[in-house]
Amino acid sequence: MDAKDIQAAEAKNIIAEDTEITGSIRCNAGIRIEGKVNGDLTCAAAAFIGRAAQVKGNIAAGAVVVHGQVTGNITAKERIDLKATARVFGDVKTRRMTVEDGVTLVGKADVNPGGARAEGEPAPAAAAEPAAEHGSDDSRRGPSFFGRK
Amino acid sequence: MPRSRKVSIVNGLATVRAIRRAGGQEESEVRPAPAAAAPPGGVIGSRIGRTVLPEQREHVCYSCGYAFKTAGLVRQIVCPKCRLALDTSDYTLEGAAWAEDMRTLGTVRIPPEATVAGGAIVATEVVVEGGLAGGEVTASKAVTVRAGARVDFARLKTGRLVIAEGASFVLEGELCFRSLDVRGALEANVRASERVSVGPAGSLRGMVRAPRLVVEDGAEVQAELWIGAEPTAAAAAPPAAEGGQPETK
Repeated sequence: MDAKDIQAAEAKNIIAEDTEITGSIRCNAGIRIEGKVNGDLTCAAAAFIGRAAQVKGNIAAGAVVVHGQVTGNITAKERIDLKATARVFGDVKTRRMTVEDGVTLVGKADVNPGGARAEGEPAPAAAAEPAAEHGSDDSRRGPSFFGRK
Repeated sequence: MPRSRKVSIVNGLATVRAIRRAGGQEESEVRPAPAAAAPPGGVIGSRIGRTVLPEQREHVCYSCGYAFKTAGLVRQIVCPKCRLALDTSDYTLEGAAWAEDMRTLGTVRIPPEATVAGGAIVATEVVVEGGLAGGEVTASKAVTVRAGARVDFARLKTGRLVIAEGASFVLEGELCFRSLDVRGALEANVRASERVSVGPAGSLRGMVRAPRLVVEDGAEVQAELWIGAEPTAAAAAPPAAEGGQPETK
């Protein structure tokens, strides 16, 4: 699904700006959220998070376009588009992702467009170089520090 | 008594008309064409179609650090502040072990067969295709590291680092630059004070801390991201065990 299709297509489910929903949402058709959702969102098609929208919960959809705020993990089967006004606090996992300048994103990203490299597969061959100017003991990989599942 | 002669005001256009009339041109040919439509890039009524401005370039004096601009093609540049004549040539290093100082406002290229073993290289842009094992490389604009380069990143001093397409690096420790442009593959902890961007063929792994991030369609990103927000002390603390703990699902 292309990003243009996500924005151009009319979402069959719409949560207006003055609406607040507490609880999980599950739908097959596309959904457009302009209000507040306190709960998980599961959508088989595309999910569009508007600029004024606030989602506190995990999002799982075919494709996700975010203009607003999401506090939770985002998992998309196809792609995630984070627009300039997006604020995401959580992990993102998808095949393809675009991030525009100005996005606030705190979490772990797992974007693998090729899909060829599974976890644990060695990284591309390269000479290991000594530490740069600020030697750090930070580990490169570790558990998700948000602990959300 | 002679009549006083009144001084007439010289009208340039009238003079041209008179000359042309004397040459046999019709009055209509002498009159300027009415400005029916603005010429492309010009102002209505102006005879000038388009003004081409020379290209402006920004420079940083490698002696005093003064930043200034020049316009057009300039063979020799003199720093307006310290009055030092600055070299503007581009250079390609030769030799298996380069250990001399070099200062230029142009571009320095380190070819695959060359290695910088010492000395200080100061340039506007540096392209590294060979080895950088000693000395120091300072670029006021950007350092581009291409595939096959053998680079000690601690010896690079630049605001912008570009990992070219096809290049692949795995680093321990942290890379700190003003901006980082990943077009190849990079596995490292990255801290940028301005921006991190990942190109369509790019791959970025590790931990990324920057105020801004741009990821283009097709890029691979497997990293912990702190974009637009500062990490808290608890979240940024490294795990106790070396090598990190396996992720539980």
